[in-house]
Amino acid sequence: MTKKGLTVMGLSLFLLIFFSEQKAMASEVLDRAQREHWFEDRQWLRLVQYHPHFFGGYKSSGESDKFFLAPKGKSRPDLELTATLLALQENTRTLRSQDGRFEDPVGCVFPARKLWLEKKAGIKFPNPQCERFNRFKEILQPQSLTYVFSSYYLNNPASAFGHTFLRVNKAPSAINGERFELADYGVGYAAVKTSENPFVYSFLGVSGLMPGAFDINPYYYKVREYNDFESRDLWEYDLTFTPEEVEMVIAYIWELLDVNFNYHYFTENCSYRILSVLEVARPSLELTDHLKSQVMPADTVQTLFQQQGLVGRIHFRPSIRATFEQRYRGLSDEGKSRLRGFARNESIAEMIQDLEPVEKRGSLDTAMDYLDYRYSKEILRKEEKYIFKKDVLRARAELGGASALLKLSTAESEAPHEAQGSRRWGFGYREWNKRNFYLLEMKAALHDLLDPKLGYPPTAEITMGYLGLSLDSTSQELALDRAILYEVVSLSPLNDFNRDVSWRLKFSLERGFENNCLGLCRWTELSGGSGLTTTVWSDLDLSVWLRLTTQTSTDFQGDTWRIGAGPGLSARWNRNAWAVMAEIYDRYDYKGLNPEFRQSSLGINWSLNKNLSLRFRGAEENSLRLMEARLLYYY
Amino acid sequence: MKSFIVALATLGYVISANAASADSLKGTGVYGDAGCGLGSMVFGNKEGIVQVVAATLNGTGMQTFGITSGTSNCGPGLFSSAEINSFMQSNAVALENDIARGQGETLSTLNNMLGCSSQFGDTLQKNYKNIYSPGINPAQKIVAMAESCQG
Repeated sequence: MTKKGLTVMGLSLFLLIFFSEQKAMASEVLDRAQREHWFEDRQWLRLVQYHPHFFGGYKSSGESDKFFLAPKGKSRPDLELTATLLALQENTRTLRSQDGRFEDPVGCVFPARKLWLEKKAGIKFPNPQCERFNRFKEILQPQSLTYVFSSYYLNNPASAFGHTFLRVNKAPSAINGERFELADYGVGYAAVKTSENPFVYSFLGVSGLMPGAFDINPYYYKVREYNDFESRDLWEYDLTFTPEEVEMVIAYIWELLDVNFNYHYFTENCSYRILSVLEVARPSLELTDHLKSQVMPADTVQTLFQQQGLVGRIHFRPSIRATFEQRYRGLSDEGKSRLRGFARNESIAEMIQDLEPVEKRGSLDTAMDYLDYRYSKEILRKEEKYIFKKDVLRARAELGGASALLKLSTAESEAPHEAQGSRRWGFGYREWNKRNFYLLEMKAALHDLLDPKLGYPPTAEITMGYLGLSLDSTSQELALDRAILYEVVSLSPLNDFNRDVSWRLKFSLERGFENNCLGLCRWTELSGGSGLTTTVWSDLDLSVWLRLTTQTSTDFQGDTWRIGAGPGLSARWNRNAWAVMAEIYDRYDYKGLNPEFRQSSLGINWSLNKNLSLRFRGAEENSLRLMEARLLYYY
Repeated sequence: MKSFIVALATLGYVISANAASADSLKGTGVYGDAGCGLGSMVFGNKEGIVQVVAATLNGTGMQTFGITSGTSNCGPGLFSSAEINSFMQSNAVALENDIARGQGETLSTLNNMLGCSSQFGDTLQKNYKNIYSPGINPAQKIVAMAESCQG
């Protein structure tokens, strides 16, 4: 036999042994996996986003085929586990990215599954060359994680309940060892907009027919968008994950970036998906198991706090409005009065003449923030006020000298982690037009003007999903009194710096003794209004309104429609545990038998603790009286 | 425009050279291939480096994210010219405020990206009028001025 022949034989023998050994190892791990039911391991179920199916078995909420290695992987955790083990062992299979541009080995597409299975099996799989995944890690330089809550934004229903996302924190700068958060990355989960029509959008969002996907952007995008443009506070909660856990989270985010899910506005939303990512890194975490039937972003912050030792330090990043207010508070009385003058006459010279340089700096700095807060859109689009703001900036730069660092006070009054629960049960008793009722109500979200302000926007009411039932104490008739689909009341206190009007909007089913009903009847209502609000003694909000109401019911006598408008007044005082609100509304109808409708009401709320409130309400509608007392339970 | 790209590329080279990886920046001069970090991410929206908020206004708030293959050119903590440019574009309003004030988070982040000390902030403040005047591209001007602090 030639030398060459010997070499070939040796090589073949080596390869034979090598591959059979690999095969032996694979089958041994496979045996163990099947014997020990690894596919039922909570972490495996979490990694592939499996949920118990209503009719038994499992189903993954991943909607992309490439998320599953087994053809039936979506509903079969066992087959998916076997397919993953085999693919990682053999290291020959590659997967194409959704856009078809890249092709990566399985081990690079599913690095989190690989990490977990290696740990579980106590072996190492072959390491493929993962250029793109390695680059991803290099860009992120992940060191730690922070959960970020972006506060309520009433002007957009999609963000009315706030938003949460994850910040991936970079290593300190190589140059001076400092941290620069703006250069970190934010990872969020959002609906992929498929329609511009708000009705179609809402319907798709609530019913879960809209695709959702993860996105990743530099943190400064988020800061500019939320803090500056939408003027929302950001609350940042550092998470105490170990480096190994951070590695797992990053690997898992990579797996999910190319996967679609169905976006559910109330349940499987931005907050839910981010929590499901965190759970993958630490088996002991139970973040999504006990979530309420609807997931409020602010509630998920409290969910994190319920996990022992998970939340580290808390940071607060004030909105442009909060920044402006803070600078304004720092001015002297003279400076404040001059700034109010500036807001009226926009004269820079008048604002700063004869002031000391340090006071000039303070005034100009505050003026800049004021313009940014009030004219954010114009300034971004480089229209009108953008040009004027340039004068302020130029004056400030000419003055020279660095401004003092703005000390950020954490607006504790709006801390979402201190807030009362967003859901509510109520029990009570009502006397109404000489009839008596027992009351039972439930509200899915969120907050009303009589609730304690802590942790919520202080001058806004948002209700979504309210049901009120009553039981007539004599006739024993059980009836639906009220169902609110959506109600917003946004009081916007006018002052020298704010000219926004207050507004309200409601869509509901109501029941009452309307004059053209026979006795009690039910109607559908769409109503709204706009108004002017002024706040005095910091806790008393006084408003005048112009309101418009449309009602329809087949139980109305004569015409089934009533359309009316009229003036209204409201006064609301809310401080710590006590709140009082009085309202008058005079409506003149264009349609209906009785053209005039007058309603006045008084509500009092006493918050006993974070979970319980006592509420009293008295109302007069034309000449009919209503008195009720309720015990409210928040959770 | 061409000179702008050249200036950015030069800057990227200077920074990489500082990190003693002189063979870096093999970019073609197009943003997407200009180096490490954000520059090597491919944004679905071609104007991804323009104001994200402007994009939000147009209802296309979400940027799709992809990473091309190939190895990165920067060491940890360093930024490519495309990344720095994107930072200046996206933070334009806040950065201009900070420069006028001579202080602020956006300014110190930029200083760090450029490899400049905090004194560079003073320089920018003193030159505010030259940077932000009609017909001048502020980002280009800042990048040119930063050459002085990179020794």
